[in-house]
Amino acid sequence: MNDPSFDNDLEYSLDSVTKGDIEFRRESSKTSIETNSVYEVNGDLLEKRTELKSGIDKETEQRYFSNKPKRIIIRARIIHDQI
Amino acid sequence: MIKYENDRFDRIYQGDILKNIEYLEYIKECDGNVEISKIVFPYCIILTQDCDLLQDHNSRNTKNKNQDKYLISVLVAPLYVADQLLLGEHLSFLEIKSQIFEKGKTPEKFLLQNKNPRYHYLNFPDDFLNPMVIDFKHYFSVPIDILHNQKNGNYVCTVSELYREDISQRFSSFLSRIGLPN
Repeated sequence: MNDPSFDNDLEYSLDSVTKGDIEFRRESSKTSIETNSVYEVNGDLLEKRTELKSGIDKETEQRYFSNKPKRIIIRARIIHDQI
Repeated sequence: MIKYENDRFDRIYQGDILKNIEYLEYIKECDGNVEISKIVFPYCIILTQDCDLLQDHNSRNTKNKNQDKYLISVLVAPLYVADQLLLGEHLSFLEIKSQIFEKGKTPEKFLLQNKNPRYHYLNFPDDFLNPMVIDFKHYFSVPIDILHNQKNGNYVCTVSELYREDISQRFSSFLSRIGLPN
């Protein structure tokens, strides 16, 4: 599996992502919470789990950030066998 | 405070609360690429009448002359965490801002007392789940085959009968309301 060229840093910018390759959704930076997301890198589907960031206790995280509906977009290329 | 049971695994029941239910938004194909978009709802409650669900179950497990009682899909409605809904933040991951219910104000009281036709507030005993709110406006359907396959892994509990009927009655009332011009 290819290593995605970004990490969990909240300063990560969508500008650095090749359009169409990766679907990345997250809460705004002020919440310090990333959402679950599924994204595609060079044909591999990867899943990023929710990361609990510093400054937010478990109870707050559970009450205000967990258990929200999430959108997942999956992109795939149809490959035709050559005859 | 509602009552619930958590031992009803044998079939889909009205009032079942299931987790991680997927709603398929669209599938599109363009130039050899397929894109699938779906929303995963952390919790949903089954709204389809229990007699229909029972007949579907019995029909599938006996040899009948026809499949007249088979259901195609099941009505469900999402449950949102009450604290998040009151803040209008429960759909933030979908980039949707919702109404804010200010603490202590009348709209919040109406919601918590189930006087707002759109919502149904559920308070679970023993902190089994966080207080939840059903949003009747967001109902959708799920193919019953998918629910059958997911029941064992995604089952949370079943709202007990009296409380289930209350939800059902309020949902039907919400659906049958008549919009009058302003």
